[in-house]
Amino acid sequence: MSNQSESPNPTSSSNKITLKTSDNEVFEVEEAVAMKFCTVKQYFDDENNNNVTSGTSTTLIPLPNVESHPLAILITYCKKHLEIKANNADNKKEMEIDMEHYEREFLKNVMPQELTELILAANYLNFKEALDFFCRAVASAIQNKSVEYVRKFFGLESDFKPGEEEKLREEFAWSFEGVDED
Amino acid sequence: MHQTREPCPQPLTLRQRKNHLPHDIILNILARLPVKSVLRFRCIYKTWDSPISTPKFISTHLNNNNNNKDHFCFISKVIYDSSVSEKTYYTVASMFNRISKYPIPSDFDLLSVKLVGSCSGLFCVAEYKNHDWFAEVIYLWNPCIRKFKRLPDFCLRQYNRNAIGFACQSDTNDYKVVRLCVPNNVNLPKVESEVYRLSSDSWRRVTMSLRPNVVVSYIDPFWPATFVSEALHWLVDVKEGERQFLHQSMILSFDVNVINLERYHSLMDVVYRVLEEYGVHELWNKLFSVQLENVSSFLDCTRYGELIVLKVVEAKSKVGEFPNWNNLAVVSIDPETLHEKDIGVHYRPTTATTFVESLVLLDGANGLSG
Repeated sequence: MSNQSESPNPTSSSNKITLKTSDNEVFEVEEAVAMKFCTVKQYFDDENNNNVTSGTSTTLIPLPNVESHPLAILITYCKKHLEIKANNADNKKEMEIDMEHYEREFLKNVMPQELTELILAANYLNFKEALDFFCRAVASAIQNKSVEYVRKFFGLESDFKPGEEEKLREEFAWSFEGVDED
Repeated sequence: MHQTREPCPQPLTLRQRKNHLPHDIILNILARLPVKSVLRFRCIYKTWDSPISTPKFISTHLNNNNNNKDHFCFISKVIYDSSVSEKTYYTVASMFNRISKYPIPSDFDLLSVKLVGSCSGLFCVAEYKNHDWFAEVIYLWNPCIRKFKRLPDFCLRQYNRNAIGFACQSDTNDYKVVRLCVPNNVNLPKVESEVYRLSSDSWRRVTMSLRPNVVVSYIDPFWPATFVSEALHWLVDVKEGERQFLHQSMILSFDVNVINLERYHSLMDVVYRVLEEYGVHELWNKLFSVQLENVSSFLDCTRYGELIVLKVVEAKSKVGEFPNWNNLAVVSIDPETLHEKDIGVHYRPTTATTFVESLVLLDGANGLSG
């Protein structure tokens, strides 16, 4: 994974922003990409308002709750998201079709267990489109699964008192029919 | 110089071990699941269970479902399932790309129930036991979660003819049944009304605020109201002073979004009121004309304007899940392209109406079906 992808280019029209993850990796991204992460944007705006940095210099923003692995994936997703949006600026339907296509391909390279990691990162960064997409992806990954599978998936243990779960299962017994094998 | 500080203070819950998602994200995921999965996953974790039956979650789930690109239409037909030892009857829902069937509650008297209307996956069903003109029992039923609710007794009991309407109030996610009581003797000179709200689970008598000397004298009890533009509409006879407007020449509209005060608008001048209220510049506009072949009957429209019709089709010897009676098929037709789509229902349905999968009534039901 190349994190320090390009050296800062002073002639580039767009500013670069440097993000530092919890495992001390540094990512340099274009401002447009970083601004999709509302948490980063908020930090960036605050910094500018405080005149701590000038608008043109590179800003280092620490992300103590995000590891490099999910961040790299989120940056890739965000770049593609912006690209598809720019390519179909005047055609919402085309944009949706392209986006769906990309998201389908994207999921082929992501393990279901990786999704929770990505969700936590997208949630911390407050990147709404990605968060929605990953939540949809988890929903479609678990929708036909058994209760036991999903418990394991989310790392949960049952917190029901004896008898309570059985009562719920009885009430909606039909919803347990036709479930995928674990 | 770089100053490093945390972007904003985060609650400790976010610094959790891997794979442990915050509660609001779990709910976000659950709200995107089909109804059947949501109900099953109530059993995963007790802490998830109570938020699922809150109105907020139910309405988020409903909005997620309504935003799906699939559009849903419901075709009901009683099907007797002989594979089950007890007699079970089903309604059939065609979601265009798949067919679902839901058991009809055994409490419903199939010979006398009639669909009043449907909203957000919730059906209002009335039982006309003794007469065609008097709904004795009214149920709200969500076939998707297999729950129903028998509504409490009416307030207005001296009447024995009534016309029923079913509406949903979108801003508060409430559901209302409106009952207009039709006079059948001289002691009861005018139509009176009462409203049931699901949120309060009770009937309340409502006064019609018409012009001072106007009374509604008759409504055909057989026809349920039409719910359009957030209002229920009935065709009625009206008396203004000594003048009589008979043969249901007037439209009475009931605005369901008026909070605390249900008002009836008298559409004495139908044309003008329609113009004003719905911004229509001509009463009837010919939008398109469609030439259809072999159509047996028109059933309904989808919310995207497709026509749902019953067609006579070529004989097919397919002995599938549903019997192929008289070579009929329900098809959706796009009025612009005339593209036809067989939606998988091959018989004459008793009722057709729009349908979405929803969790409405999850916490307020008093009966189960199947």
